[in-house]
Amino acid sequence: MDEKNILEVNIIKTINVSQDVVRWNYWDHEHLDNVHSGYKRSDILYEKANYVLRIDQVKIPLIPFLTAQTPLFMVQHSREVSYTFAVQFGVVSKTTITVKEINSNECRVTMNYKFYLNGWRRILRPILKRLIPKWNEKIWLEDLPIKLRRQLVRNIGFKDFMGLPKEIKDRIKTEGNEVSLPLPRIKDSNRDKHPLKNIKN
Amino acid sequence: MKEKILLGSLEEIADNPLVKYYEEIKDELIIFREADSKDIKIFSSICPHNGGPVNFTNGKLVCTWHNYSYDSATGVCNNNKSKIRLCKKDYVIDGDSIYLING
Repeated sequence: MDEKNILEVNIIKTINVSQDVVRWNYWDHEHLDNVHSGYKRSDILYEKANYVLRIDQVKIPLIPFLTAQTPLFMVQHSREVSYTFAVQFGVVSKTTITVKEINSNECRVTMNYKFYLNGWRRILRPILKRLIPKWNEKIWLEDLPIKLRRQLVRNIGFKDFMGLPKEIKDRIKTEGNEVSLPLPRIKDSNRDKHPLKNIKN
Repeated sequence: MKEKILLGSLEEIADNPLVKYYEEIKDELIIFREADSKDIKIFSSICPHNGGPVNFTNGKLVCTWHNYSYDSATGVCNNNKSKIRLCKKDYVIDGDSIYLING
């Protein structure tokens, strides 16, 4: 294992939403294929409070009718830091997301990507170096209105599966409405239909 | 005591649904004509699942974040086994104006 085979890309953004909203967006597995044009399907195989094993079908750039299966393991390491380990086209990657709260309505998101490019995979270095910032920007822009709206509805007291408070006077920002993992899903969610998840033993 | 809140005009929903946030009630509403009956319906357009935006397209009320769909007459979620539903609003029409009946 040679560290010089690692390609590292760093991207830092600030956003006018709480740290909680950013974390919610990363753990909202159900939006992927509805919101992001690069995703065709996403299946959860196993999850616990702070980790998930997921298989995504990602559309291949320039030939979007073809998809690549990407197994990924995502873990919320601490309140601020999450790691995602994935394998795509035989390339192992590690993504570290650090979400630092600036204030209750603003945070800084540091996205660090590492790709292990050994052997023939070295030829992918210039491609990935150019592709990752573009891909990151696309995903960021697709997620941006979601995060801003999520902040807006939370500021008027919205709660998942409950909606807004009945009384208008209660439609104010409430504390203690934090993200609790795993995010609850309905019983027959599309994320839970993979045969290997549902088979017993 | 019930109050009337001006939401918009019939002209505004002639071709497309009207989706707008109303500060007076701190809610975002969708006002549209049903595909078949052409009846006017008003619901909160904040999806009770995660707060996503509910749109009315091709005769269906659908949340664009997670594809939850709702019955356009009742607001009941109709593509899964959950019991969530969109909040339906009462209204009156006075001349060309649509008013929410609140309270």
